[in-house]
Amino acid sequence: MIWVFLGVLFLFLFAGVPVAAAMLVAASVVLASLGLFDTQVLAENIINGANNFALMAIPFFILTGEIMNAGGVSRRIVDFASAFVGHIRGGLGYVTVITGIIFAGISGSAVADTAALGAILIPMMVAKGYKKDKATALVGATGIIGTVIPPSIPMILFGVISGVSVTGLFMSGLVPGLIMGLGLMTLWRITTNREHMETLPKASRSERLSAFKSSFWALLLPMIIIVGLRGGVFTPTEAGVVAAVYAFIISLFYRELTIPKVIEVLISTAKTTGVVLFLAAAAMVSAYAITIAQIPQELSMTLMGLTTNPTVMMLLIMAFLFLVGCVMDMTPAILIFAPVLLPVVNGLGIDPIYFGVMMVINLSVGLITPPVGTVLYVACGISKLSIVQLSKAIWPYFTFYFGLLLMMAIFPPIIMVPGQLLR
Amino acid sequence: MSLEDTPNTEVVSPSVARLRQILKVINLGLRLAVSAAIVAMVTIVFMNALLRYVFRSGLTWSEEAARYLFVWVVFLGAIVATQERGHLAVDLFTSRFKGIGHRGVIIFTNLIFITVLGFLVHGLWLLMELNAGVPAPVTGVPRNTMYMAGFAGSLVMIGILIFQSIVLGILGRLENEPRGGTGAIE
Repeated sequence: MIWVFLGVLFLFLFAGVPVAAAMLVAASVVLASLGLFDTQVLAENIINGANNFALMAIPFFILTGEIMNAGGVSRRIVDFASAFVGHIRGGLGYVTVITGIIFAGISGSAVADTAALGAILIPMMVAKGYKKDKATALVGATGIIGTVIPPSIPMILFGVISGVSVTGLFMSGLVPGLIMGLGLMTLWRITTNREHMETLPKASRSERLSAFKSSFWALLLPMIIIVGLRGGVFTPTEAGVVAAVYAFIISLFYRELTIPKVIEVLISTAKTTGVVLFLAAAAMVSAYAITIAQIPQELSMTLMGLTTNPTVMMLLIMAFLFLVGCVMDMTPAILIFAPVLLPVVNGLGIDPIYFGVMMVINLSVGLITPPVGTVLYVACGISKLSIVQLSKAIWPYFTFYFGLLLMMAIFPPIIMVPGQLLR
Repeated sequence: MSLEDTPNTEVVSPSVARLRQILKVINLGLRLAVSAAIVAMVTIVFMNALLRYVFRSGLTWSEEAARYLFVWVVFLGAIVATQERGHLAVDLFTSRFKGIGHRGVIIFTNLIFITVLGFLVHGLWLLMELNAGVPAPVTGVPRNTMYMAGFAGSLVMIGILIFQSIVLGILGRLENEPRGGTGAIE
């Protein structure tokens, strides 16, 4: 039955059918072959898929990201980082990574973070004599930290569809996200060692103070989210709403948010919500179908026949997901494979939170891997480079992420230990 | 398909012009409605979190009300995404097709989408008959308010997909094809 499900799904996917529709087709075929096809079942499941309080966190975090960019919050964070590290050799590279980490702590989307970072920092770096391809590559590589450091839209999707604690996933993503950022800064230093780059003038103490003051409320937001979740003050959904309202209020103080901008932000949020959550709701239908057809058990049996060693299994699954990430966007990849793979993982005693974080990091790296790398395309769109040019420049970062994933697959404590401390 | 983007350079009869005007108003109305629903959702969930944290007593109806609004936001948002051809798809192979092949892909993928939306419309119709007069547990709003979002949303999406199949697929006016492009998803 698993081959029926995946066969139908991928046949329609590769024919260009929207993912949500392909999932509904695959679910219908599986149910029909069991003699259980019923439009009411499809209807009930898709509505229940959307009728979910936990998923509501997604539009809230999308909204937060949009407000952050429209309301001048992003700009102030860049100014803050520039005032502190802009004068160092290659300083704007460090500004990019530090800003990216802070953005990641506010928004939950790698694409939004890349767009925000790129729009501000690529022109700045090019103006200071940085090589355009290297600058763009760094922005793309930094952007994908957005889905690893909490909040994270893919983690919410993973948590909801597989019944794993979203707060747990968030807390376990924090340290790996910071490791990614530190690694990028190190690589930036190594790869730009011999290049000529202008630096920003060193900011005086009073300039630093004023940059800190003007960005203080924006910098507080990631803290509020993390501390609030960690302390159990609010659920991820409430964290999302608090973040959105907070971002809106500080944007009012910055006086950059006009009414037409607010409407634009809302419409854009609605559209993205429609895409992601219609897909998520359709995925709930196919998740129901694969459960009824006992597809995960079937897959478990097959995979357990290959190996019962958790590390080897983890490496196998990660290699598979890596290939998936090359040809597929992250949202559908999570929605399709999380429910199929989680029972396998559970059967071998692999921690589901650890697995979720690994899956999200893996598929995030897929966002900077051609041919289907959404972040790559966004970065190219901003810098007007070709995908080939950017792919050449991004390989050091890509190799680093690949190595990091391998290490985390072999030594789970890298994720598990800090995760358990923070949870 | 964003109907408002139709180029106005050609000479059109007054009735077509009026139709376009009406569609423009409907489109704007749709977008404002979904924006309002998001604002309402944010307000309700935020008030509840605030009241619970500050006064240790929340609004019992808030979660249910927000969820019902959310279902509407999802389906109205899906309509907007359908208009702009923004639903996620794997175009790794199909993006190679140009001209007539591209038109074929549009018609084929739309037909599949229409079929599954047809299943939903049928199933939701049955569910709404079944749940007629049943109130939601806390707010007392008819339970069908929620099913109605999916029903109306799917019907409108079917209409848009048929329209796009005709204009883009059959008539081949590809210059009108919306660029799609999804926003901050991943």
